[in-house]
Amino acid sequence: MKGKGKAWIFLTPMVVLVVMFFAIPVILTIVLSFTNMDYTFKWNFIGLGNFKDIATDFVIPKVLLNTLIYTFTTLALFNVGCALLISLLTTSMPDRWGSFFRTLWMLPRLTPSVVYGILWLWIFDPTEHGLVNFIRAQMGMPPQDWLHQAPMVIIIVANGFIGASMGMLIFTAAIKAIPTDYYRAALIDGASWWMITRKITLPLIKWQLLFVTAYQTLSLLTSFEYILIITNGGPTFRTEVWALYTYHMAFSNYRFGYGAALSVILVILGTVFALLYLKMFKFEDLMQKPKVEVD
Amino acid sequence: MPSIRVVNLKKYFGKVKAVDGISFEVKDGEFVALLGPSGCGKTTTLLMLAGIYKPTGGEIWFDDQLMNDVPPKFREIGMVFQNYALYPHMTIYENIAFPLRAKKMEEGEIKKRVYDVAKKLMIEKLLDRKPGQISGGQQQRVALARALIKQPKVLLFDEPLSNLDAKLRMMMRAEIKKLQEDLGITSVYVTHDQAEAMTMASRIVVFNKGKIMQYGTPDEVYRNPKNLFVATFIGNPAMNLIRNLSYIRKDGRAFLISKSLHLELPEDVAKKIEEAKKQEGLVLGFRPEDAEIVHEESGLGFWAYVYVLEPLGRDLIINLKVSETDELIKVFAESGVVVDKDEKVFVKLRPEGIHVFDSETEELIV
Amino acid sequence: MRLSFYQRHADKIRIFLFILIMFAITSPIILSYAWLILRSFSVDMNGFIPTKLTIKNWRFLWSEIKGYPNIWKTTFNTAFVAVMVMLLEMIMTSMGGYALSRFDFPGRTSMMKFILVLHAFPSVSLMVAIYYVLKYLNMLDNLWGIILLKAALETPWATWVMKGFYDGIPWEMEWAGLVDGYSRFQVWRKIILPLVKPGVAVTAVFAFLSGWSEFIFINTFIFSQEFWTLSKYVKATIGDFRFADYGLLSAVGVFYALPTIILFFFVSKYMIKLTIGGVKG
Repeated sequence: MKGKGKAWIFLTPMVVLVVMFFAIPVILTIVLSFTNMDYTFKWNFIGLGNFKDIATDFVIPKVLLNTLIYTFTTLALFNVGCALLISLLTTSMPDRWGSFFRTLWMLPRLTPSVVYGILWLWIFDPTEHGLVNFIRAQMGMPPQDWLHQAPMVIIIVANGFIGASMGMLIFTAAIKAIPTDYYRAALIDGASWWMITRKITLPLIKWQLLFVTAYQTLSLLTSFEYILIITNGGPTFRTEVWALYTYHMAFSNYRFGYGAALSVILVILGTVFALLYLKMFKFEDLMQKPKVEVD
Repeated sequence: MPSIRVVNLKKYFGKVKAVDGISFEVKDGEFVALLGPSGCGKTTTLLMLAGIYKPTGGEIWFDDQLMNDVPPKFREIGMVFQNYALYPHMTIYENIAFPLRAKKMEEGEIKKRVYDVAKKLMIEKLLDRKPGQISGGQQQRVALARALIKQPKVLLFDEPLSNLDAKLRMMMRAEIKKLQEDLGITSVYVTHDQAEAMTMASRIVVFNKGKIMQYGTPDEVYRNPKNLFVATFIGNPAMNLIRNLSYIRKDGRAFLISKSLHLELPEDVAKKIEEAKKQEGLVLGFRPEDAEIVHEESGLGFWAYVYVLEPLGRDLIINLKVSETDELIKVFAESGVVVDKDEKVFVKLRPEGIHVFDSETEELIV
Repeated sequence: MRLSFYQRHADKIRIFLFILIMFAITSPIILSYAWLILRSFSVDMNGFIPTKLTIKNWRFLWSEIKGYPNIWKTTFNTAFVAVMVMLLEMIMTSMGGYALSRFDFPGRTSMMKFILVLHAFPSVSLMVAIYYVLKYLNMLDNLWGIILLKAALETPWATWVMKGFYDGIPWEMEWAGLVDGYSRFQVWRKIILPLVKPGVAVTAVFAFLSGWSEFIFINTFIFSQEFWTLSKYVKATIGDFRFADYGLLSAVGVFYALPTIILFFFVSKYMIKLTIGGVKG
């Protein structure tokens, strides 16, 4: 149907807001990355100066390594690994139990981040009040200061328990969409649970596995909220990831120009991934009818 | 090959009684059809035989072994599904080999067996393709091959032909029957198509609402339906019914009457109705081929008028009505009979084709 | 048939095993949430057993804590942000989604591509520029700034979701309305909008939850205590020595998380039931 004028009546509120707080900042970020703006808010163009600084910044290699470890370990262990395990197990038990567990796994995602942070601070509390140290104490072991011993493990686990839920939802929906007759036929043919999983379920949800892997790579690459709350990047940069480093540069050190440049690199990295999966999975077809909003 | 014995079998899903206390027997090597409308419990029964569903109550015996909680993989059964359930990501070869791989058979033996069964079913040229690349009829053959490859002792069919077009269905019907006879595998075949059940099975279990309505040979369920359900479900066109009849005896002669109908009964039929002590709410039933149209009153029968004619090429079905408010009666016309619309004709019944049912219990009286 | 106990009951044993495994891997969630609630009502705990019950941890509800803003004022701010973000998103996505789904206007395709491109820019990467924009608009340290910002960042994606719901409504509905003499706007209001209610509801719940839980923007763009929301309040309590025994901390946490957990029981059903239409096989 035609309706040039009317369409814009429907779109104007959205377009105005999106341009103001989304499109303009996108452009502004790029422009700012060529300045050395600080808390004085003076526009001072320095060309590629920020990018040269990034190349020689002695923290960057550490940050990059942290980012890669954090992103891919969380992805493999939780966002895909744990999500798949939960989906496979909960779809192989009576649905009352299955949805009970899946509901529990949704809980972290919907809990405010700061409250969720408290839970992990308690679990890894350095005294015997904390869960891990309490359990150790029952076995006669001394408490450990986990935030210093293994901060990376803590942020991976904490993020993983949230990240698993999206994959869980997608995999579960995909597994449930497999016709029951396939399973019945396989059962009659004498296949074990493991053989059915390997030969039937996994090949049939291959596409969803690829999708979640790609999508969650991007999400993890840019996530830093829980790290900020739980370790704030510490101790001494041991959990400082790229996105958090950007945030610290801009809002702790007030190096806005430098922060913007770091953002641009993050976006380029993200865009490369985005384009990759746009090509790989025909993303536009996929987005015809998305009916779930999670990330 | 084992015989199958089902005793008082029940399956409840919450409050829904899908199968409600059924018993029947399938002899060694026999081909039995479970026939009924959709949702009558026939597929549920089949899935219990397969071990996919666990019975709520009752027993399933294969020979002298109680199978109730024996998992499917120990039952030595093959099954063909309505949608064939071929795994879309595997080649035809892999699909057929699947049951053997589950048994961890060695590769050489698998290959030999797959080629053997594929040859028997004439699908050896399709082995490298995927299920999406072959026709419905070919998929059907692959599904059969997969069911047969492990040399099962019992074959289960869940409406295997319902997704094929009419012509192919007729062909596969004959082929499956021949295959079953050759192999002599005890078979249970679920269908809602009475023609399929009649032509293929040696005995038919007629289902309705989770209960068995009748169990007998195709001829028995057709000739001697035990109740109204079987009478109307089996046969095409269905058995003619005239409802709301009363039985009376006048001057020593017995009649079934309603406002518009007056039918004198033979003495043997009358005796049975008197034995059953039913006077009201009787239903007369007769098959279209058990009546003929004549123009003058002669013997057993009643008057009706011609409603509409349905020529079928070889045959002609004459639709009649006794009165405005009665149900349609269909009669196959004898060749050479000429009738006009609205003409009053006499419907002459064959005495052995008469059935009388009790409308309350729906059971057969005569 | 001679079958071992395991062969006969392999099904039940496997299910039992799976439930055990699920309990094991879910235990951090179960334990920590149970602890959070129990702890907020206890003086101290020995593992999971409260040594003594108390409501003293909840004192922040009726008495001021030195150095912190009034809890009810803070709660009001939080609800204000959540409700406003929700309303804005409901209006914008139900209109925008309809336009994208049903109108053929120049720039429609490029606009949809633009939305996808925007999605590649995570909000974190824009924080610096957003700071500048807010400062320029004089909206720093202002809840309206947060509200508009959140709505703007979430709307493009949510509009895609709404478009999906609109796409599912048959065109015949719309034609029937137009044939009956309604204007395009009336058709949308009276016929189409009621049909996409589930979509609007989902958008609303998610927008509310995201507004209620917002932390990063509040933490970065709000300075005055009078504009604090609960996330900032809770963040401030972490590390404060008065909260070091977890008692007060867990009570504040439960108070903050309660509305989301109540909503959650409605949403989780929705989320798990909603088929992920776009994610085809």
